[in-house]
Parts: sequence; C-alpha cells; structure tokens
Amino acid sequence: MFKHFISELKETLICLEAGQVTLGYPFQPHAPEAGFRGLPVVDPLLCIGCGACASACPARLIDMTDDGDHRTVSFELARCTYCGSCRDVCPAEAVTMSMQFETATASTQDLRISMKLKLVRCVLCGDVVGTQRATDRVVRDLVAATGGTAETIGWLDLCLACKRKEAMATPALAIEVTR
Amino acid sequence: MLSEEIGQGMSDVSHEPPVTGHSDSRCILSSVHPEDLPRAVREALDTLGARYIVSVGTDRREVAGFFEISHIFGLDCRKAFLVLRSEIDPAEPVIPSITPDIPGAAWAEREIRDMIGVVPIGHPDPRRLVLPDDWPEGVYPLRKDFAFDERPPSVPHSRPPLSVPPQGSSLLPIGPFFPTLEEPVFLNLFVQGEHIIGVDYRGFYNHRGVEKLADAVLTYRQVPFLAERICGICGFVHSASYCQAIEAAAGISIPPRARYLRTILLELERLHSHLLWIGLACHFIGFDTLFMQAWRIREPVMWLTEYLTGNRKTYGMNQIGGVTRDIPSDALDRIPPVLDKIAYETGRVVDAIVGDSSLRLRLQGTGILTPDDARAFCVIGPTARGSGVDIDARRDHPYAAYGELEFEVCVEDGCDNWARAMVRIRELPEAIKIIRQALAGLPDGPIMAEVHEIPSGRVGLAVVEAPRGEVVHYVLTGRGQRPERWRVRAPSYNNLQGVPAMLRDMTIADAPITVGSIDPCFSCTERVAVIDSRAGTMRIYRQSELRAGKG
Repeated sequence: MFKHFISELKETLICLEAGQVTLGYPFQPHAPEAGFRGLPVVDPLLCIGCGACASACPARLIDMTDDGDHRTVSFELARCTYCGSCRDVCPAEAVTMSMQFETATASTQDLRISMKLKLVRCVLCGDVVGTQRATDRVVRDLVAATGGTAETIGWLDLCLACKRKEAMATPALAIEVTR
Repeated sequence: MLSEEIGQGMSDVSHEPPVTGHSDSRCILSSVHPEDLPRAVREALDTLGARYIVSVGTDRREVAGFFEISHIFGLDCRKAFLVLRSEIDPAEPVIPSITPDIPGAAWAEREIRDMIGVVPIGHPDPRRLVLPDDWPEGVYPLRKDFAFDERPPSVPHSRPPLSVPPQGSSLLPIGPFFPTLEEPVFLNLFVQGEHIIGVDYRGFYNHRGVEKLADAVLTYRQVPFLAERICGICGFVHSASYCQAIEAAAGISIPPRARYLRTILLELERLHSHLLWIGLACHFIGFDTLFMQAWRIREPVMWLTEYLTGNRKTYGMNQIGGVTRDIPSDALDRIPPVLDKIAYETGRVVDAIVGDSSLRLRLQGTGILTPDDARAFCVIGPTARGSGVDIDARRDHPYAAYGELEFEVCVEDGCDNWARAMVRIRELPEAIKIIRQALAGLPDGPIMAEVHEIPSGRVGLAVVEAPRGEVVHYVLTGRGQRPERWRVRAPSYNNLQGVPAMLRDMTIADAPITVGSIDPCFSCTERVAVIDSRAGTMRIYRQSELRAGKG
C-alpha cells in the first residue's frame, strides 16, 4: 500500500514538473524544422519540361501532355505524399519543397499547378524533339563542352529516330562493323 | 557450404539439390514436390530447427507455366533462410496444407487460397480471410490476368460464416471498429458469464492493394515510398526491408554510412513507437495520465526525425542502394541531448510505474501466452520475447549496421501482458544505446551505391526487426522495371494469430489490453486485396449535400 502511494506520488511529480506542454498552434504559427518537406513548389521559369519528375513520382501525380506546339506539365498536388523525389531528380532545380504544410482547401483545384512549355518538333517527321528550353539547355551544355556553336553542333531540330537515320546516311559517321 | 549442409538435411524430400538465392548466399532455395511438402516441412522443423516465417503464392503461369508456392523458414541459429518452393499445376491448383503441423501458417495459406486460388488441402479452417465480404468466388486478384484496377461485381451474402460458438456460450461482438485502437477489426468473443472461452476473428477491412500495385504499376524505385506508407507508425522498417530484399536479390552492397544511417533511423523509430505503445496500453486500461506523459516524452523524437529527415514520420530516405539524403551536418550535436532527455524521462516513468499496484493488477497474469503457443503461432518481436522465446532479427539475421553494434536482446518469461510491457520498456534504453554507438562509429563516405539493372527471376528476402516484431519482405524480381512478386509480412500478421490463445480464460475487461499487448497494426497486416468491399455502392458526398443534411 505504501509502495503504491509512493508510486502515485512519483507520477504526480512527473506531471507537475512537465507542466503545460501543449503548443499554441493553430492560434500561434508553427514553423517546421529547416529541411522540412512541405508542399512542392515548381518554378515555371526554370522548368524545362524534361519529364524526369513524372517518371520518378511514386504517386504518379505529374502529367506531361503534348498538344500542337506546346507541352503541358501539370502537378495534381492533392495526391502529393511529400517524398521529395521530384526535387531530387530535377536537373533544372525547378522544384523546391516548401515549408507549407497547411494545405486544407475546399477545392483540389487550389492544389493544381499547370504550365505550358513551347515544343520543338522534328523538321523531318514532325515528332516531338523536346521542349524549347530543354533543347536550349542541351545547346548550352554542348557549346560549353565542345567549344563549338549551335550551328556546328547541328541536328538539334531532329527527333531521336531521324537523328539515327541521318547518322547512318552520313558516310563520315557510319561505323564500319568488322570482326 | 551452408547450402550443402542444408541439402543433406533435406536430401530425402528435395527433388533437386538446394541452391542459394543467386546473389544472396544466406537464402537457400529448395524445390519440393507438392506431395512431399508436409514431410519436407517436418524435416525442416525437426532436423534443421527451422522457424516458420510466411508463405508466398505467385502466379508464374505466363513466365513458367505454374503457380509457385514458397514456404519461408528462418534458420535462426545459422543466420539463414530456407525457402521450400513447390510448383503447382494450374489444371489442379491444390497443395497439401502445412497448418496441421504449423498452426501459425493458417492465415498465409488462407490468403493464398483467396488471392491466387491454390487451395490448401487439409486446412482446419479454410474460410475466406482477406477478400471482402461481397467478393465473388473464383476471382483471384493476385493472378496476373486480373488487372490492378478491375472491379468484379458485388455478390451479396458471400461473407464467410462465423465459427460455431461452443455449447452454452454467448456471443459478444467487439467491432468491426475496435473501440480503443480506433482501427477496423471484428472480434467475436464467445463468453460464459464474463469469461472468454473462444474467439473468432474477422479482419482485413482495410485493403489497399499494395502488392498488386508493385507488380502491375510502380517501378522498383517507386516502391520504397509506397512501402513506407504501409504502416502509420513504423514505416521506415518497411522501406528498409524492401530495399534490403532488392539489394539481396541483385547483389548490391550498400555503403557503410548508409547502413549506419538506416540503423539510427530504425532505432529512433523503435523509440517513438514503444513510447507510443506505452501510452496506448495505459489508455486501454484507463490510466490516461501516463498516456499523456508517454506521448509527451515521445514528441521530441518526432521533432528530431523531422529535423533529420524532413518529416516526422515518412522519412523518405530509403532507396535501393542506400539512402537518398544525408543527415544535417550538425546532427551529431543535436541528437545526443534529445537521447539524454528521453533516457532520463523514461527512467523516471518506469521507476514510478513498477511500484504501481493497480497497473500490476491489470497486467500481471492476464493475456497468458505460453512459450509453446508462442512457438506454435510463430509470434515474433516483444510478443515472443515476453513469452521467453529468444528471437530478434537484429541479432539472428544481422542487417544494416547491427552486426557491428552491441546490444542486449530483452527477453522476459512472465508470458503475460506485464512481461510484454517490460520487454518494450527495457528495449527503450537499448535503442538509445544502439543510436549512441552508431553515432560514435558513423563512417564517412558515400551514402548510395551504384545501382545497375536489376536482374530478373531472382529471389530476395529481407527481415527487419520492427518495434512490433520481424517485418519480412520477399521479392521475386521481374523482367520489366518492377518485381514479379512482392510479399510483405508485417509482424501483426503472426502476432494476431496468437491473440485467441491469449484471450482464452480471460475476462472481458482484459480483452482490450490483451489485444493491445501485441501492439497490433491492422493496417500493416491488411496490405493485400484490391477493392474496398463497398466499392460497388460507394459515393462521395458533395459539400453542398452535407450542408443540406443529406446522407
């Protein structure tokens, strides 16, 4: 009996010592830790529409649709699980994970991001080569790496299949296969 | 060689010499004719001292022309696994049941019947287990010719019958929404007066089709994020276990730093999970003061993981080959003070409650699970260790950095709710000890190994000691960018099968804490089937309708 009393006294002391621990949130703002993965934010000026995020996203909420001269990149963030895969794979650093965790809304439209990017189509067959921005980026990197110019690099307005055909038809580039 | 040694033990029954699991020498695959299966199982149990883990059914008709049923065993003292694989003719999809020899295999065999359509002959309780109550007979959702988004027509009144109550007993239903756990489970207690004399379990209401998604839709590198969401408390164990299974199948060895980081996060998860359980257990018996205090002590762990990984619970760091992000550079300064505080505070709480006689009266002598029952139902984790069964995947099948760290496996022999509570309470300082060692020995270097294409047709098996017990992920690699079969065995899958034995002869008042004493996770257990049972009639109410008071 005495032991039980001591035990209850100890339990009381634990409670008294802790005091009130409840945070003031939501009446006071709550800042998450630095590095928190909140709602993804996409910078439409940086996105090159390459589609890396769309193939990495485990929730499959990023959609790429080509129509005419434009590619529409859309994020249905109502389904987002905040894993950060899109940020991790983005070569243009267009995606950042914000500190925003209060995403409750009456309309899922509020959680949709949609961007239209200009497309480059193959001059020979009309198939999609990529977005203008992705092509520009390739040119920039190739110019930096080779020291040439966009004109000397060439074939930037050809799709992959047509590039292959062109390469096979160019004697200087065709590789002779011998044993 | 381990495989040769095992081969001698199994030579009578295996029609081909056993082989090791391709890249993983600790996983021994042995082909067994279905008719020899019961003999092979007894051989494994008696000669090799094998412990049954789980059974997996795979529809391999497209690839190889048969159904494959694999019974997986742990050879714990040899740090190895034994997989008995049987090929089942699709024209006659039956297999001798192993449940008469291993009571703990009951659910896995019923699940194979539900999902693949291979019927275990001689099963003592062949009722439907996993599929919804209105699912048509003869439709098997894990067969490859069943599309992941297919919705068969609803068949009313196909609910499995209740098992017959013993003579002279009355029925006391608890559920289908468990009142204290706030989770969907239906326990029918057969009672005489206030004494429980039998239990019938109906669960699997929380179907999410996780395994089907992985072999039909997702890619290898997307699955870890889905795996992490299998459990709402200990998700990291699932993503770690999945990644380990793929790494074992493909022969990837991950960098030392990644192994240590996984260990640190796994133990932080154990800390917060056990503290959560202590709070819940107290809540079950009406001791809400301690419920509040345990959760208060837990909260700093959640803040710490938010700081380390970017989120309180879904760390999102496991990937095949290692971890995707490193912890912040000042983590080594920030983790130890949190550990010190938790160690001090849990010490004080434990000191206070061990003398609490009302707590002891509620926990001691209730929910008895004898060591024999614990072995028969193949229970694991604190549930097994509370009944004196000394198993712990961290020591028996070392993974991550556990092989290089020192820790004690906490075993109690009280066999009651108190013993299971004490195991968890004693594991708290052990977890802190492991994290401290891992921080002290944290190697520098890369956190991700180079991962090439994952070869097809390989078996990967990985276990992780989750807070609730051993989590098992089995992977059979596929020809595309996704597994041919991914099987998740959560610890509650086995532990729940031991609950009827624990409840027998108890009073009704002890039922919630006894069910709670295994720290059940129904959502983990019920990862398999495809469609909500109410899918046919489900509708979403618009805000305006709700405002108008419709529905």
